[in-house]
Amino acid sequence: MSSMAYEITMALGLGLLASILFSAIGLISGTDETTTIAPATLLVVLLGAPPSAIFTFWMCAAVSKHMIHAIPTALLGIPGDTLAIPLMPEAALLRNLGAPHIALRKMLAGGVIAAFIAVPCSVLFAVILAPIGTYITTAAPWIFVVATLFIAYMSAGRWASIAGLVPFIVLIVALQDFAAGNGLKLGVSYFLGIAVGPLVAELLSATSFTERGRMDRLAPRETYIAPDAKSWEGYFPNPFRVLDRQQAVATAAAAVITSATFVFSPVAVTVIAGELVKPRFKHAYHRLTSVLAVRNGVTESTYIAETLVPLIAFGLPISPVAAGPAAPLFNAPPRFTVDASTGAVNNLHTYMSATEFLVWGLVSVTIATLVAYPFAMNYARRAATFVTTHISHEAIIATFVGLVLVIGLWDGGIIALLLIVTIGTVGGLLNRVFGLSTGVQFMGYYVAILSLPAITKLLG
Amino acid sequence: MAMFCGVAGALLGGLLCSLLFPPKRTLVVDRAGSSATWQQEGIENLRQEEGSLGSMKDLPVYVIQEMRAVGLYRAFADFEERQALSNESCDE
Repeated sequence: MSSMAYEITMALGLGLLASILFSAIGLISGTDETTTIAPATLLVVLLGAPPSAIFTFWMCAAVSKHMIHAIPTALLGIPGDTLAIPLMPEAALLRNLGAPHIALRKMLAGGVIAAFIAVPCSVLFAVILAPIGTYITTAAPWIFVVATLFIAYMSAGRWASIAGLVPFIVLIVALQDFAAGNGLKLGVSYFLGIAVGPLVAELLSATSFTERGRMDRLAPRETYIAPDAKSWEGYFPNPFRVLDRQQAVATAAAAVITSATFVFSPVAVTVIAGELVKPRFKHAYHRLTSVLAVRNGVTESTYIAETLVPLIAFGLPISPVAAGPAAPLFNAPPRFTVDASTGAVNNLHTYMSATEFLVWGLVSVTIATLVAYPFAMNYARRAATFVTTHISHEAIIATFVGLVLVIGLWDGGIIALLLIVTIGTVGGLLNRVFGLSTGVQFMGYYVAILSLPAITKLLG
Repeated sequence: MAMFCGVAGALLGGLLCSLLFPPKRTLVVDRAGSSATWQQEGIENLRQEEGSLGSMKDLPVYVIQEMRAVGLYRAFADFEERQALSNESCDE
């Protein structure tokens, strides 16, 4: 097989695999994007997949997950993942009216329309910004400091997040020295430690007598699933028929605008977009369904833009998504690196052109839509029932602990595992207690490796 | 290859756990109370959240059609009627 045919086959194959895999993961409530998409993408990078296949894998994973997360959010009333949280109030109100399937359909149709719009818009925006790319790379250490402080302030913790960054960065530097003392130069472990932080903190809390009281329940949690109602013929309902004209226009406009706001927290952008369209819809029912379509559309567009714009224009992870769930596209040592001293990059930015990003981006959205959208529309209720009755949290935790052990031992044996647990514990608690989100922690990691050497040099 | 085996092991562990530990959730399929009552409660809930529901007269035709299909049009119309009546009695 020629190298080009091999690359195309791999790109389509891995895209399809990611769409199926993350459609299944999307059904599991509360599976954070960073803890699921990032490790899986890292594995694909380290196993040596071609650049375009890595990109389609990530895109299909993100797009399909953000479609399927509508199922637990609308039907079960549990946020499918972090970005589904802003959709909760409207979804709950429609569920109270006995129309969760309408919530689900509006969210899915909004997601499909926004994803197709976001890819060309992001590429266009990245191409406009690219000429200043060289200045950006030289100024990278300082841009990271400013972007990190800004993202920290925008996170739930506000000033506490900014203050909490100091000990966190010191911890990273100290652990780097500890690893170096043992003759190791670790890369992935820091990143993995931050990603599994919330999980480590919850597991430790569950074993602690002082914290266990918070988690105690008198009875099993009750989950209500509404009856099914299908109102279309065939397998693939037209998203433009599911949304009315006004809703489709609002969703498309929000997708275009949020393709430009690539440095803000995706959760914040999703919330703001919903608030901005609210006054345009006069009746409360119409407002509810419209806000759901727009907000879920924005979960797609903001994720695509926050990854594509920094990746194509600079190759530096300067947005919360790029530093979090999309981090392995930028930095996955030894294959992809961001050089600490020069700001030079060797990652997908180097291996793919803007046209390739556009083409493979659209191919990915198509694959993910073909897999996730009709599946969610047709089998939503059955899937939600299966997950609720068969998949326990124990199973999800066991799988992730297994993945962390595999990647950690591969990266640096026992030392790497110690490092992952340490960062996981501290990062997870900082996240839960002070609202220092994992996205901010990833930025903190980059400040520690990129900006701190520049700052200490400046201070002499 | 070693990594593939590791990943397969992790997935196998997850499968074993899902067989060993069933989820501790209770699935509720039917809701108590007549549909009309809980729908009116849902609308009242919505009114409190949103401040005001807006007028049914403002709704475009396609939204009315959708609401009829979902079985919500009558419920909203009834709610609006009752509200108008209670407002009138307050005025008197």
